[in-house]
Amino acid sequence: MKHTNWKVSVFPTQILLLSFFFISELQAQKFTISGYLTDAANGEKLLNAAVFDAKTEQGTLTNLYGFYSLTLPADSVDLVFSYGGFSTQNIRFVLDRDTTLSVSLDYLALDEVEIIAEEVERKVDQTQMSTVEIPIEQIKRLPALLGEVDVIKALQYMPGVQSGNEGSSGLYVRGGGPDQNLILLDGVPLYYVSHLGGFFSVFNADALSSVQLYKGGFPARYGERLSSILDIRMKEGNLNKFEGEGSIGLISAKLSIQGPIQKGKTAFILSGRRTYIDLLSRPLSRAATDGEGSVGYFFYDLNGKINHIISDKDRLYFSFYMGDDKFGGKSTYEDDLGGESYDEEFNIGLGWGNRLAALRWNHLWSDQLFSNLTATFTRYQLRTDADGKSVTRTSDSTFTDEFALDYRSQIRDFGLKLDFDFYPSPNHEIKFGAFSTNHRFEPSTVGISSRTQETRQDTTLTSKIDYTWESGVYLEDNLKIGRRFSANLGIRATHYQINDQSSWAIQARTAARYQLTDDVSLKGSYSQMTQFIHLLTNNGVGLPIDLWVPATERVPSQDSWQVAGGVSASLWKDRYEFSLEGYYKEMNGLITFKEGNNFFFGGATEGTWEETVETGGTGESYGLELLLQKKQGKTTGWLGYTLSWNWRQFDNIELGRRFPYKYDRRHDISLVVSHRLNDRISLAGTWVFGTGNAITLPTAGYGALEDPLIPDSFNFFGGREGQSFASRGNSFAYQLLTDISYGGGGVELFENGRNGFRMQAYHRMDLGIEFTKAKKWGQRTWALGVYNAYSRLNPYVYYFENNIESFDASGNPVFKKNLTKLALFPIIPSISYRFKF
Amino acid sequence: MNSYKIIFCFLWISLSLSCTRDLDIPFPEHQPLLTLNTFLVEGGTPFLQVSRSFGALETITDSSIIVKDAVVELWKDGVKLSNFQYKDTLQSDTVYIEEITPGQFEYYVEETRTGVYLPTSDIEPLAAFDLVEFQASHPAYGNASAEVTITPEPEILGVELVKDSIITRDFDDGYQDKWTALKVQVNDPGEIANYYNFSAVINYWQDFGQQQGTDTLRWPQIVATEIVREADGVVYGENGPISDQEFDGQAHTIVVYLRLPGCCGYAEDLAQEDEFTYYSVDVNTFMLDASYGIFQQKRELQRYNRTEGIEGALIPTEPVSVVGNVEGGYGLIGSFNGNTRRVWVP
Repeated sequence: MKHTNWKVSVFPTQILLLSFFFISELQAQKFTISGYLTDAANGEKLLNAAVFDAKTEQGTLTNLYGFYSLTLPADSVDLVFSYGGFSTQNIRFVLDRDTTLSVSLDYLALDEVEIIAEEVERKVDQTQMSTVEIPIEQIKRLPALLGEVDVIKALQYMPGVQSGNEGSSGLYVRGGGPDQNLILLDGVPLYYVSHLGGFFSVFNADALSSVQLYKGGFPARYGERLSSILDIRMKEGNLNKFEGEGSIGLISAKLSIQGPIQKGKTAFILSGRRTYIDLLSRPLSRAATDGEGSVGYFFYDLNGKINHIISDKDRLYFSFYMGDDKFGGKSTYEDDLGGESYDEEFNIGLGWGNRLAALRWNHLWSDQLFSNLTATFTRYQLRTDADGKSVTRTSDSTFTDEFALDYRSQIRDFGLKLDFDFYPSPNHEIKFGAFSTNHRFEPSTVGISSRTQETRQDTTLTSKIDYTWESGVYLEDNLKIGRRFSANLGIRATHYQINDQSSWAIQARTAARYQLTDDVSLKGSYSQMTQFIHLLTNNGVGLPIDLWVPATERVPSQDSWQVAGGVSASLWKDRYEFSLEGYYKEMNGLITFKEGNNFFFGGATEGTWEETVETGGTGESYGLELLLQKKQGKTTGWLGYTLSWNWRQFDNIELGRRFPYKYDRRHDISLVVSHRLNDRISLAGTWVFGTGNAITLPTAGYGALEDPLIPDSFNFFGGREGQSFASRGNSFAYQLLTDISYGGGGVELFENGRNGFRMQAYHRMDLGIEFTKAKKWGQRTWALGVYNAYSRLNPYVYYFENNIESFDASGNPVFKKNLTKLALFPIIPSISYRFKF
Repeated sequence: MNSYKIIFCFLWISLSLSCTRDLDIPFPEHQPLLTLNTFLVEGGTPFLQVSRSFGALETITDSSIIVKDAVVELWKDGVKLSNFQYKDTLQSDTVYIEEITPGQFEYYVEETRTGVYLPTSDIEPLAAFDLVEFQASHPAYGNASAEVTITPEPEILGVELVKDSIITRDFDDGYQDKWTALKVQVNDPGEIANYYNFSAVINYWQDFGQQQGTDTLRWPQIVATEIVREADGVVYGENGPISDQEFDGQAHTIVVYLRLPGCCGYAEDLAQEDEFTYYSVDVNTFMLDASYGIFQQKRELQRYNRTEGIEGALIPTEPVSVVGNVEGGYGLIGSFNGNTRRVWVP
């Protein structure tokens, strides 16, 4: 039996509007200018660079592949090509035919330009709202924990984007969960983007060219997640000459090299990073345990890309990423008791990592029609294993006891995507395309084995492996009506199939801008999103043991709608940009672990994860976001403030009452400042403040009687056939169980409800200074930083602890119970050495 | 280069000192309320455990929270059955002996006493489906009350061994782990919200001397067998008590999986099949009337006990909001019953 469900909630006017605007352009005689904008130094494409005709005041932006197309009336044109930090080029000519015009812009050295930000198009001119772009160069200048530059953490400084716990590289966007972010590296999803328990992200900034985050008002070309799209693009490789850069820091070293394979035609970039914590921790731990144990941990990333220009109309790209975290521990123990010896060895390992590859083909069908065909592969795998062996030897026998545990969780995708960019006129930029992805979910496989001389046992518990298909089409039009109004109208249809179940989701996307004056515009957006994938995650667990699972008949897809409105302004001759946005988002079909369940209990590891979750949850999130940004001058930076509320509701949790989401944060402030003293020295500082995280904490307890189903006397009921309990008399133990620690038998009282207790507020200041010097071979930079400059002990986790308060007359300790917080990082200095050649 | 080494050493020392604790976080005060607990049994004498709730930071002992001076009454159909009074009971009595100096011993006794409230006058034994109400009051902890319906004996319509249901899990070296399935058909009483648990005693003959013996299922403290929700053989992996939420008031078949003894750390001395023969299984069915919140908590505790010492147990489960049934206070006034049915192995 095949089932098909339709989930259609689209403005009825949406399709009509699209059609109307599409055909309404009556063309006079017009010609098209098209081509690529590149960096003159290395041939790298310039994304979102501006192409503007000063005469007709018509313009466009380059797409994600550096391509532009602008159709103008036959007349003389005065084209301006510009991109932040690069020289501007003016080209004047008479447009009397379709023209191909590729332009290379020169990068300006810092002393020639005061513009730090790469973005040229002002926010006030953009139709899209709720977007965040931070130039990679600016990200590199921000002070970072242990000097490790981190793209994700830079985004967390933006309003509407929250980190999770201290040091976490998780993203929580406008009340969404970590599974609701589509994180794309070169257009390919990454499922887990953290190293070292979340303190660092997998993105090596040296290998990246651009970072763009959508918090709402999503264009129709993006989908499959509810809360955000993070589109990260890798560099393409220098077509003209070899160059490299790298760094040596406290915990890791990086090296990137790029250059032409065939000059002007084929280029590559290869970038690697590896930590060396293990090189220090293994000998230190071995020494600390007299050689009986050692622990080690490292992670690495390897990014690569090859870019080949086949012809003026065809380009080919192949990019890949691989990265792993590896933790390993080993302990040994030996004992010699007279004639008997005992040897024991124990090993434990934990590893997780991503593999990703993308093959892209850009093709120019005409001056106005550009296409990109992408084949993708991505896989995330978590693996943990433990094994042990003990050998007991006596004079006449040897006894061996061995055990091993192996756990694996995996998600793998193959995808194909075809995107078209069509530029029929300066007033329309139409994007459309189709996509299809095959997911393979293997939530968990556990293998357990034990053996002695006499017995042997091997058990494998495999959860159900699911294959799903997600396919669909989209259409969007970025249109302009008059000088002041522009809109992006789009529609996306997704078909989802798992086993013999299938469903459709049709989602409307709208964003509009009305320019009140040249420097002030009003913006609004509405978007619907559907997500056919869930993440099973336990509150408070800091290990990457979250399970990706598909939407099924029993656990349906999640969807959301979001409306946002705001004002954007450019102030003091474009030196400052100001934006204020309000948003409201509703989410449906959310899941969470049932009360009393977790990753191990209730079937998640026994092939029955669907039994462990509450379904049909709803979420509500609303707030205001303010951003004041200075993008030009020697001093740049921004001030961000978010006021937000974030709720969840499940029928079977908290008696159906809504409760705050774990990362409900009323106030969130970020201040980021960079200042360039001179050509050699630059300073940077950040300060963040956030309302404390919402946690579930028992504030009281009460005693309970022993469960009559648990006491031994009732397990060994031992009644005769047909005998009832009543006929055997009443013999309950009256013992009151009062211990409310886990498993103690008492009952914890959560008087404030789920997530009803607030941790202390979080605030922190980071400072950094860089010394740059030109060398014969290139350039070097010493970067010094201080994380948590005033050593605020920000709470990471709360727990109850018994401490000795005093001693009684007999000298026995008198304990006092305290709520204790664990703070991870006090002031931490860092130093790193960067070089370019 | 030496200066760099010094810098690196300094930075590593800073990092190694980075985990810091801070004590005495401000914490909300808790107003203690009466806590009433009991499990009443058909035909039994009612009793009530009265204590008070306590703040999470309060250092308590069992006896420090037991309330001995509450006014307690039991009511049925608007008629007071009896007043109740606290009666002290010795729970445990341990004598410690310590040799202070050679030949000189010191003795001390550790006594645990607790108690419950019992009726001050004779009352009729409680009958199945009786609806009774406890009312309690205390000047410091307020008033609390709760009512409960006396749980009837589980109505077992039938117990049968599922034909050809023995599941064998093969291991290396020829060892096998055997499970079999029982269908227990219950007729669930509609008046109460209850949950079920099962345990089993497997009776067998040993060949040598035809001596009858018994063996129990798994560990004594764990009653849970593997239970599936439906009789279609789909294993959902549900362990521990099973709620009647989905079949309240209906006849329903619960499939119970029993692990047969003889393998892999479990009654291994019975590993050789020719040494014993199963002849019957006594299936004990337990039924407890309690709120769903209590059911959740009990199940969580059972899981915890079952996995104590296993790495996974260290990872906290989602918090359970335990919902009692005491108005104006806390605790659980529950009722309990059970019986045994024997099924013969063909």
